[in-house]
Amino acid sequence: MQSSFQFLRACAIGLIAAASTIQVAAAQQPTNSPSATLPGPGLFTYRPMFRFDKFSDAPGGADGKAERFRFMNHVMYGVAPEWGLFADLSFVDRDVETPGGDDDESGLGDTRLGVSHRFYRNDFGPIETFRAAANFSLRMPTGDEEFTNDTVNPSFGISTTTILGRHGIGSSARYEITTGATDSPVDAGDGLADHLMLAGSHLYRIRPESYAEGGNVAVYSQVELLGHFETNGDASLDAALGVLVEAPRWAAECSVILPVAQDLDERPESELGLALGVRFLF
Amino acid sequence: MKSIFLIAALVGAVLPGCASQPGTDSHDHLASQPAASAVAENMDERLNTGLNEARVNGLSCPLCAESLSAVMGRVEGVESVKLDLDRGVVIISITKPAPTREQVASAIADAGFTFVSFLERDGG
Repeated sequence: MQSSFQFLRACAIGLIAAASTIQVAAAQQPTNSPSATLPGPGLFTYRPMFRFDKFSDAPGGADGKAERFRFMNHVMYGVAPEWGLFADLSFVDRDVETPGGDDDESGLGDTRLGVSHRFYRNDFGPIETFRAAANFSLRMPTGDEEFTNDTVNPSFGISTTTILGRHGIGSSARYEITTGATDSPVDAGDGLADHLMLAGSHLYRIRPESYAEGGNVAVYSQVELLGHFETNGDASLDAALGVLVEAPRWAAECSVILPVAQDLDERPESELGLALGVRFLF
Repeated sequence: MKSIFLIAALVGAVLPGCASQPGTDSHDHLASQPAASAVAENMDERLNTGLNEARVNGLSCPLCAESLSAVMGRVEGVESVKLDLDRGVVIISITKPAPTREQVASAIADAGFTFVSFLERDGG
């Protein structure tokens, strides 16, 4: 457990160092699911996030329990109007307790590289908008032995974002064709089964009631439903409750992920997830 | 298992329904703006130096709108950009050589927002 805290501390120092070099932040989207937001051409968005997960089983179907810390990094670059390239990179620390002993592993997770195209945009009011984007990505086997499924997995998806006054509504779907498997699957898509993710979100702007000239700090409540369905029959539905705070130069988010329903044979059942992140645009 | 798929189906059915609601422009917001009036557009005309205002749709949040400031800042002659999210108005400070209206409108579109019109500032 001590190594987990050392890992977390190292990640925090890296995050603070990164934040000190970046000036401006972006953008309104839910914490745990994709949205149809893109940086403008020539701009980067960077979303570092800490994620903690607690499982009531050990990976690989063994008796026991597991905890996992991840330092997740999402970078997107606007290559042209309505087009963006993105990469997801994570560092993982996992503690597994089984009757046979404890195991603590750390390392790189697989990397996801992709392209996103916003194919529809209807800005129907000063702040009101409906946007839809399609994306294609490849999960690359860059992870360490315990955290990679050793093959290139393609996935494709679609996401929508609607802003209606103080309400933000998002929906997304992604299908991943899985051609390899980790030794001990933890997340949907880690095993040798295709993975369909369906997600819906609602953000409500708690304050301000209306924007004043010059911009204000905006505070949103977040509710997300996250469904994961695999072709091996495993299925899970999580609810995520959180808060997003946006100011003209920074954004911060936190989210608690709780299982609603789980029917899992190939991967461990989740007890709790916590996400804490920030967002930058530069 | 069936209940999971049922909930997922409900999520899938409800959210696109919400998303498809906005089909028409909401002109109520635009009609109530007191400080400026729309100017007949000649997009090849250069903007006046000093402060100019443009009505822009889709400025959905403080951080999304920062992207607009960054992209518009690259246009020659754009000195600074300020956003009035409540009115959906971008206030642009212009210096010489002043850009054309078309250049500014294109930058707004490139940033991912919808240019509506330039506004004439009261007393300007």
